[in-house]
Amino acid sequence: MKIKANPSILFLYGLTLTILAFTLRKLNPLAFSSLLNLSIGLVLGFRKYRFLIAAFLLSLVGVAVNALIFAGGEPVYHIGCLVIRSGAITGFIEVSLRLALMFSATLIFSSLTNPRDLLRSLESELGLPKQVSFTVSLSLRLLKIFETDIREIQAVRKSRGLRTTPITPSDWDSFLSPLLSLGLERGRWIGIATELRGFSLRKVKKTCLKLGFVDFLLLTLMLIQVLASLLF
Amino acid sequence: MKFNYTTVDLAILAVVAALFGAVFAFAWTPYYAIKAIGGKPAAVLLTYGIWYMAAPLTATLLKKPGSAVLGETLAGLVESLIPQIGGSSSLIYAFFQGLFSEAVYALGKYRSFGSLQAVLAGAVPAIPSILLDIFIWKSIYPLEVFTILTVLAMASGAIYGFIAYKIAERTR
Amino acid sequence: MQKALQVDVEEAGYEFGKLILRNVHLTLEKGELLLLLGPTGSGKSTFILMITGVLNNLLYGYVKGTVRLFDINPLEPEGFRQVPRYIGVVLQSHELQIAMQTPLDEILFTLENLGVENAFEKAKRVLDKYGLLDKAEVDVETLSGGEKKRLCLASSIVHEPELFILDEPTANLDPWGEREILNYVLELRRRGKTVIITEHKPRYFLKIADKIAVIENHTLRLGLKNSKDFIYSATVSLKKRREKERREIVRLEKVKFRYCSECSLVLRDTSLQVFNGENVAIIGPNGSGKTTLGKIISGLLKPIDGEVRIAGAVPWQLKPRELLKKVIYIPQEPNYFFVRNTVEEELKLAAEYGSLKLEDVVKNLESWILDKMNESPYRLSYGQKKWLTYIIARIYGSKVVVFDEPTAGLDFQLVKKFFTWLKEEGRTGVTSILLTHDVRVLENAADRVFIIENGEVKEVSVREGIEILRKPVEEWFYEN
Repeated sequence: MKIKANPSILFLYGLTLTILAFTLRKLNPLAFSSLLNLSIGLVLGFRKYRFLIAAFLLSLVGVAVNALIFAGGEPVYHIGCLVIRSGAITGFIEVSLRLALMFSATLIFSSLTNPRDLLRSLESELGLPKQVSFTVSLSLRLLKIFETDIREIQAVRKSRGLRTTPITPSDWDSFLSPLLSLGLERGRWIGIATELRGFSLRKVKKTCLKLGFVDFLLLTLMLIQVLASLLF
Repeated sequence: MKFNYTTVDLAILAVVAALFGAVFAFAWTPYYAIKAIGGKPAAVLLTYGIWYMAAPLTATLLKKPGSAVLGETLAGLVESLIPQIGGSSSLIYAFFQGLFSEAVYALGKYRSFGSLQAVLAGAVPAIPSILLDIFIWKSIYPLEVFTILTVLAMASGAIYGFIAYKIAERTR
Repeated sequence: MQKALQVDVEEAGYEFGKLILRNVHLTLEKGELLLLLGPTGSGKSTFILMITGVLNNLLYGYVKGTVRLFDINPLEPEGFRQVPRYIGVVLQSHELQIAMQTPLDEILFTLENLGVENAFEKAKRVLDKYGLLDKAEVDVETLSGGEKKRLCLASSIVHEPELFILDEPTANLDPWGEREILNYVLELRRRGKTVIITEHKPRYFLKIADKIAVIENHTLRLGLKNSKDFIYSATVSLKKRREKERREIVRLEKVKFRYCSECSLVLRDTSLQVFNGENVAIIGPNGSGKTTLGKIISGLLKPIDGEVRIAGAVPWQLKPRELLKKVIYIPQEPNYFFVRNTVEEELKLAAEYGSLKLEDVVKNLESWILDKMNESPYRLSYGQKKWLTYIIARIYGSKVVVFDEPTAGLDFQLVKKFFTWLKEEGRTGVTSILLTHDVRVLENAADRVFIIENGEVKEVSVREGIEILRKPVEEWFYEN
């Protein structure tokens, strides 16, 4: 069964979750939001985003290591010569919950919609200015071309005996210059071509925001979580 | 100065946003590589500034009010639309980083878009960037660590702000 | 009868004080085809930007004079806003034009901008006509080069404009693609549309143009003084150069390659042998695998099966310095090639690798390069950039140089110069491998020719190679 949700609502929901990841102070509402959305996210995105989930789990390992090294508090466990402080445990849990909340935003959004539908929805339903939707749309289009550019540049750098992955600022300088040079030429002409295709005349017909059951569910969840963050 | 963005300006904004969208996704590799060898301070010094570069680059290219915040925010938006573990956090970081960069140009009444402005516009975003980090990580890192990171990030931002200026001038 | 275009301009440019065009007077009747010639950088594109109102309305340039496009004045803001209804534009490369992520979005974009009724149906119809209907909602980057070009063509006609502007439409196309453009132009003529084509490869368009104009010395002149100015006539040299000793320098045996495990094979069972000092052309349509083959020979890609030997060594097993001594790959896009901030630093880097002193290198350089030593390579013109890549390659002193579409985007003066260059390189024993679909390379430089077909490489005679590349368009002229 395919779940239909309004892309704009999904985007707002994901944005709210991300903001909550920063602003939630108390552990209980944080745990509630984080675990609830992580579950939803995992159910929706388990098949498609396996690698991303693995990357996320790997990042939690990094959090654990940092917690062991930096966090304070009374020592609670000793494993060999490793001292685990209480701060490390609470710190690990708290940071992991925050990261999980952010990650769940990605899973939920990316599993149910895509940037293209989002832009269409924002432009026609929420009245997003055409300048913004055009710019974002174009950058998504150019993204793939830049990825090809990066591969080609890496091949040449390798053949001319240079690092293919930039490390120093000077590496970045020589890496970004050709990308920018090519990009600007494309940008200039695409801008001209777009103007000649009547962009200034563009007026997208506004349609009413159509909300379904899932959208109301999301809006309700959003409200509950925001209220929880303020009250508890 | 008029806030007048032509389609060519919009296309250039899109170019910078896409460029950094592609670069950001790819910059995590050197970050982790350097971190493994030189530790977090080296990694921050050599790579954090890249995430603040879109603002001074766009401003030096377009020389219009709003270009710093728009360039950085759009780059962050593009990065957040690519499925990655941070959710929409890239957008939030980018927006505040962009605002601080924009402030540098605004304080000069948009009269100059030179190398000094670019260096400052690259350095100041470190402040909101690390502040936002504090919201997430404060239960693990003590305040001293954040202070050191801010200094390192500002230095990194200044270096890459200067590079942004150079490559913009070189390719205009 | 209303004229399509009336231009009476004294001066025009991007900045006051730096004029690009002067004394431009031109009248174009409805239904006429104007072919606009001139070397790169002469102002052909500026002319286009001027008559469409882009120069002064969008790019902050200036125009002193009048332009009338049908019944509007494109130089005025109100007229400029209406220009899109009258014109359809095809630029040299899809990368300079396609703004949306899918073909359907791309076609709909123009229709939505102009508020055209039944946009969706019209879009689907034109996509169908250009064979893109089943790919309407896929990512544009997954389309082949030919499909992307067809998308640009489709997008230019969907709103049924009266004037078509084609800016170097055959720039990145192989002979098969050129044929599609000719068909497209013929269709436009049949419908009575007015067409302006700018080109510096005008060989075929000369036959169908009603008016020819040349932009030279900042001004526009009607008619051609001497058609030889713009057609690089073929001087077929079929004599094989006699080598004192014939040493094998490149060998590929039964090479197989694919980009990923789910991808189809790009090269299957590819074998070839090249001897030192030869200029070998490898031809085939765009997308046939020429670049892939070139990169394998250069050690940049490793085949999944088969043997590759460059001067006796396996290229991907060598360290960069050793590999550079044997082979270098020059990409079609010169911007990919530069790794330093100034021309001088580029030459210095190459000199270090080639174990040469920069002073010795500089002695043999042309004056225009010496003038640009402190400039960024990215600020050079396209032709200068490409030439710089050849100079850098020469300084590296590799035994084998792989050129990817070396003549693409160069005007005829530089193309002539390039063939002379190749002859000199050959004399010093350098082997040149030329990945190309340009028949002039075979007519003027190639000693041997290989063709890539279905992932396999077959040697053909130079004459046969020329036939293969000339056939698509010559057949078209025969049919039409």
